[in-house]
Amino acid sequence: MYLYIRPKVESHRDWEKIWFGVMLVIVVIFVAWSYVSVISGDTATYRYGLPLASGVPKPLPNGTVVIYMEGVQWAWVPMNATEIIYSPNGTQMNISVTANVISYVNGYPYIKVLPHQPVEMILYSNNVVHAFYLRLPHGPQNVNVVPGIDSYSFFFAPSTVGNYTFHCAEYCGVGHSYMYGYLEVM
Amino acid sequence: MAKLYPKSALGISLLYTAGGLAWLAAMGIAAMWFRTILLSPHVNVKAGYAIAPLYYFLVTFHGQAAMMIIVEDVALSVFAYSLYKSGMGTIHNKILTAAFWLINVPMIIEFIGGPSTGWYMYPPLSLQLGSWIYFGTFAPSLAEKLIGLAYFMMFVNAVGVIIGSITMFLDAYKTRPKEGKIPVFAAYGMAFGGALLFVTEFALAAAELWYVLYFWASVPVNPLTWVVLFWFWGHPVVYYAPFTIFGGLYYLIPKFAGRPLFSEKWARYNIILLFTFSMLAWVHHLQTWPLPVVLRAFITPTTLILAAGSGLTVLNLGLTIATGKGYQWKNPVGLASLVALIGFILAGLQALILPINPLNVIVHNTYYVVGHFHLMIWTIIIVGYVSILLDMLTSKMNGATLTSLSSGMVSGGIIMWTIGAFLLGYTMSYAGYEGLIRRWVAYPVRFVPYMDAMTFFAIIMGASFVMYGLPVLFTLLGVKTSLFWQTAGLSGVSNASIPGGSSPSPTMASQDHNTMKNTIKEINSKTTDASKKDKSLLN
Repeated sequence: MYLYIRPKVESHRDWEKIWFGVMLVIVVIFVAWSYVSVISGDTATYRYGLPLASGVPKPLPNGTVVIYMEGVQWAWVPMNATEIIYSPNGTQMNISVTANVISYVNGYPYIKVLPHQPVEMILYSNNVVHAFYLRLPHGPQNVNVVPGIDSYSFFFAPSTVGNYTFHCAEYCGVGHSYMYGYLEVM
Repeated sequence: MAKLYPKSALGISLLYTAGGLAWLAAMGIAAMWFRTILLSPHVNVKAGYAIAPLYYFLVTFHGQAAMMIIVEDVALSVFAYSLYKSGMGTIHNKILTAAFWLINVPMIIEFIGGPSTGWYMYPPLSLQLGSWIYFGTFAPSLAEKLIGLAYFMMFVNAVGVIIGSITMFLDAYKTRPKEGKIPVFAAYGMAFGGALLFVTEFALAAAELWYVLYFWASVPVNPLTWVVLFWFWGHPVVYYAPFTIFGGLYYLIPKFAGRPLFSEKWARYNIILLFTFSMLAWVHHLQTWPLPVVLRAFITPTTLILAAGSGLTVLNLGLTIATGKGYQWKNPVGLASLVALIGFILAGLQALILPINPLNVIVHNTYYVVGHFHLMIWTIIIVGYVSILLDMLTSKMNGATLTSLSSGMVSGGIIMWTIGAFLLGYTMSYAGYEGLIRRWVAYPVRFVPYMDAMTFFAIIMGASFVMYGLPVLFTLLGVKTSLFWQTAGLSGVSNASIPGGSSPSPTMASQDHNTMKNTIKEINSKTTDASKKDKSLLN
């Protein structure tokens, strides 16, 4: 019985084609996963919002706190907070909750929400580019805010009570690192 | 009469090297300075605001010197050297020297203005007078003219890059081999040290000119359009140096592996892939920006295909080493080439998550990204460049070999440097994953241990840089070269550059057989071995 052994020198030339094939498969898997995550909305930032509110749930869930937040040099300024409540017949009521939700501690904004409460931040800037960055246990929010364009960040408050800090993540001048505030889950 | 400009490709290469190294020293000092500032988390807000302008100026200077001057100097230097090594050359040396000065000098005026804009100078922050520590202190009407001048000087720098890269590319084309293909080293030089520069640098020049027109002619700037234009240069620029250096590795690694390149055909195919896709990936810097989903979806596959192309380079060189006759890693040039390759793999792995939309958001604008690109710079650019530079200096020293002192300093320095780089790069990236945002002069106190560790690792790198940098610097300046080089019997070998880059590096010569006769014998035997191998491959 003869056993055909391919010459070694010839066979190892195929590694590049194999590499290219394997890489192509990996690229397809990564891209498909990325697209499916974006389309189905089950990933952190894309879940709701970026960009231009394309993924924000419509209508907003019952109990959502909508906060208009302005980025200035150098502070986050939550302007007002509204809670969306639906009556049994489906009518949407916008209840102002600014006094309950927004306060300041040592000059830094302090936003109080309940566990699991849906939150929508409508972010805008009157001067330079900022970015809203909030690291939550179930995924971060990381959204750039370009002057003249509203950006949206929608998330559910963490299930456990605690204090979370949101920051500016895009360099916006000398006070960039002091541009932060708190999200308190009560 | 003083030598006004170099008359050869090697001279041009050394000129650009000198420019790159001078700016590297300056930006390195800036890095050490702001790393010292970062030892304090600046919990005291008043202290933080007081130090912030200096900190942000240093960060801006560090980034702009790197991205707008050093990277171009390095790419053009390696490009010129690839021509020298491939039996090609430069013709318009006066123009190339003029371009050198345009690249390296005008931005000094910009730096005098005290920019604290960050290297990617996003609008409208960079249009605010307050972002200019010195120029911004003048009366607004004058300040606007001065800041316009600063951006004009940046524009001149970009024009210098365009002139230099087009000229060198055309010279390379004119001096190409009459028969056969352009050697791989020079082909990479032409693509990534030449064409990629003059194709993409126009975007930067346009973005800078737009700023000039804003200040001098009140032309409005649209932030979103400007950043998209900027990154069309801002992403490819990170490839100018490493991909040109790839060519150098394709040339050097086979020498130390004792066999021809595993697949020259794929190395050439890869030029097309890397060249095309390096210009299709730029929007991945804007994944958290309010841009259409379609645009950001498009750059996920383009970036990953680009990564696959880079991986192909790694495979090609890795297989060259694996199937060679025992890699000569004890040789400083061989070691540096190997470290550059390993570093490229380890830094490349960090990048794999970045183009994936759902994962990018976790680390966007954090130290994760800073760790990734610094590790890339410290290994494939700096160590890879050192390997080519040592080969270049061997040519300058007429084929002398490194003494045991300089071999030890270079090898020891590079090993220590690389250990420091990995520790620092990965610490940065982990801190970023934990939530440490870029460009914070003040940061939450829980990151103090990370910052302390980073500074410690940076000191290791600083010390090792001196170790391997001294022999290089002394040789470039022509000071005490007898300490670092021994010339016995080797003079002239490296000048015998052979098209195709098949001549072994003289630094490979074993010190035990350090005679002209033995070296030539060694070269001949290696060439014969290589031809035998080629023959068997052809069969």
